Amino acid sequence: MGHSKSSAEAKLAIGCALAIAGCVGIVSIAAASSVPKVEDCGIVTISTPNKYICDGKVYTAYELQHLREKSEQTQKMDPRMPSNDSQSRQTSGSKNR
Amino acid sequence: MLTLFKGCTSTLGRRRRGSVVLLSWSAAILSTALLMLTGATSPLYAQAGFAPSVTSGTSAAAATTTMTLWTDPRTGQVFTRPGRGRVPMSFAIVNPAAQRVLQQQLEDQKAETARLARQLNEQRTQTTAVAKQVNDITPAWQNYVGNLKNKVSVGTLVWFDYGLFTHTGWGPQWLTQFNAPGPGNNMYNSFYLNRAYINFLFSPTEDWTIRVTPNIYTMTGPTTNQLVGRNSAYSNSLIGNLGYRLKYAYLQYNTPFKALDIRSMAKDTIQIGEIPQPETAWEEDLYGFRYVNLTTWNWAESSTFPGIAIQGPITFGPEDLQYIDYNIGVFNNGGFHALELTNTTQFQGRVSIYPFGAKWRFDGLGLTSYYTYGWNNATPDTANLPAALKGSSAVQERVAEIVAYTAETWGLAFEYDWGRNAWSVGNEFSSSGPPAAFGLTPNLNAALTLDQQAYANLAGALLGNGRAYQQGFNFFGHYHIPGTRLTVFGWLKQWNPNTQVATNPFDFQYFVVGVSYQWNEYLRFALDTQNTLFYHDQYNFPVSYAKTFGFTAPTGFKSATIPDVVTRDTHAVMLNAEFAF
Repeated sequence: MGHSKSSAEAKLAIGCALAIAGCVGIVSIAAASSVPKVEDCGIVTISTPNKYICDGKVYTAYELQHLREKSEQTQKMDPRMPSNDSQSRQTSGSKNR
Repeated sequence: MLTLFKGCTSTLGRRRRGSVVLLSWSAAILSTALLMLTGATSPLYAQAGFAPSVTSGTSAAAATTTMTLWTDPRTGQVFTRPGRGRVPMSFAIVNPAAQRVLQQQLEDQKAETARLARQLNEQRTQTTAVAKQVNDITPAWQNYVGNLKNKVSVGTLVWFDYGLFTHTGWGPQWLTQFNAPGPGNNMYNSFYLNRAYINFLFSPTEDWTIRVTPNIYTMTGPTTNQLVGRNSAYSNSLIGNLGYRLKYAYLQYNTPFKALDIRSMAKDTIQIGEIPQPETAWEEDLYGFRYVNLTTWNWAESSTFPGIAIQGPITFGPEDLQYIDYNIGVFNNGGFHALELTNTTQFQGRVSIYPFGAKWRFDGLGLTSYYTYGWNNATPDTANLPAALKGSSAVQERVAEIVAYTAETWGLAFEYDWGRNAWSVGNEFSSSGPPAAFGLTPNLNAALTLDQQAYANLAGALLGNGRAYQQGFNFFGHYHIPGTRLTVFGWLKQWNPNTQVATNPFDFQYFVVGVSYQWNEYLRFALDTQNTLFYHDQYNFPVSYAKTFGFTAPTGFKSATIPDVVTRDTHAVMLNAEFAF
């Protein structure tokens, strides 16, 4: 009986771990998709630096570049995560940007 | 000691008489030792007597005296007087006074040593403090250099394009540093470099910013071949060279109203120097595709003037929404690449109202008015000459009324423009025009040359007589195609350079339709078609009517009409690139 109880506890623990991992995955997906892309942003000013408006927030070109590169880095480390790039089929293009 | 003495004598007294002498000498030795211990300084007995001798040394050793005893080396006995087989041995005795002097010297040495030790410690402490100060200084320097990156910005703005002109014609420039030949040169094509800003911005403190921006310009001008000596020449031509000139150079005060604690205007600034005028740079950002074509008033007016201006958003409410955005200033009448000739200045002002509040610069519905009042750039002695038509000395006004709605991914705007003496022959033919309009003789037969001269004179009369009124309409907008890097855009313009003329052959329409591709945060491309359409049907302009505008027929021109005054359209396909950093 003890064996079956410990087995049940182990299964429960594994199930929770999987659930948590799944939640993390959902959160990660949400985080990845929220990264603003310059092509979706409006122009605030073409200057030094350029400024864009994305989802109600003003970003400089440097900031958007940094966010994009960080997102691409995350995807490289975890290929399971969905691509943030709407043209993910053109990965060679995104790398060469 | 006395008991010992008595003991010694009682013992020795029992011995025979010959031993009494030895007893006496023992007593003498004992007495001498006692005296030495008590520190007596005077000789105890005469040296020649039967006692040890004591002498004082030299002045250097005056602190010491010497006592001499004798010893028998064979037996080791010590005697107080010399004798056979005995050798003297001397002892230095430090006298008490000298001892006290020596002691004092020792104490003085100790004190001096202690003082030197304290001095050494103090120096060590000071050295430690100085080293700490030096260490503190170095990080502050490093901190300054490290923070310099937050005070200095260097950027660039480059516009480069390729144009294929399926139909060439005279007309205005679509972009600066952009010239295409006139009629008869179809399929002309060229690469152009339209802009190459180098932006230097330095903000030593949050209150001040200095900007210096050089930019290219196309050198055009007569050939300036040089005669060298009596029989040599160097060829020289400016035309076609791209030189650098100063576009912006100004000081900006970032916080004039922050200092006054006016929160609504905290982001407003004051600029002085060679600065952007209130409308063009603002509209370029509103349109978003300045790298493809000029905005309306920039066809006729410089984007930059020496002057002083105040500008910025005015915000209200808990969310600090922008309800007003303004820019007003006073400037030279001549632009940034002209010598100022007038004794007046011009006023320019733009006010943009956002009735529903704007979260960012162009957010939502915006209503904009722009107005300028000044004079054409002419010296007072020229401007004050009496004349029926002031021509290039006339007062000058410009108006733009713009209604725009802008979202993050699309925008649409309508613009109405009005001007007074704000458009010239040079503006009409800023890309290319008839040679006669520039004081040059075309390579044509005499008849055609004369006709062209008449045409050029007509342009001068209709466009620059000092009583010309301009009117124009614009639609422009863009739309980002969701899920792509593509944005379609367009510009449609109607321009009447002098509404006083019933059918003005110089009226034109201009339109752009294109698609832009955003490569990354700094680089984008556009493929577009651009077209200038002189839309009136071809006709001959009556000389009599032309004369009401100050037309003067060229010498030898006898015709009653000026032939074929509607010039040809221009059509081109362009590939534009912008790199902005």
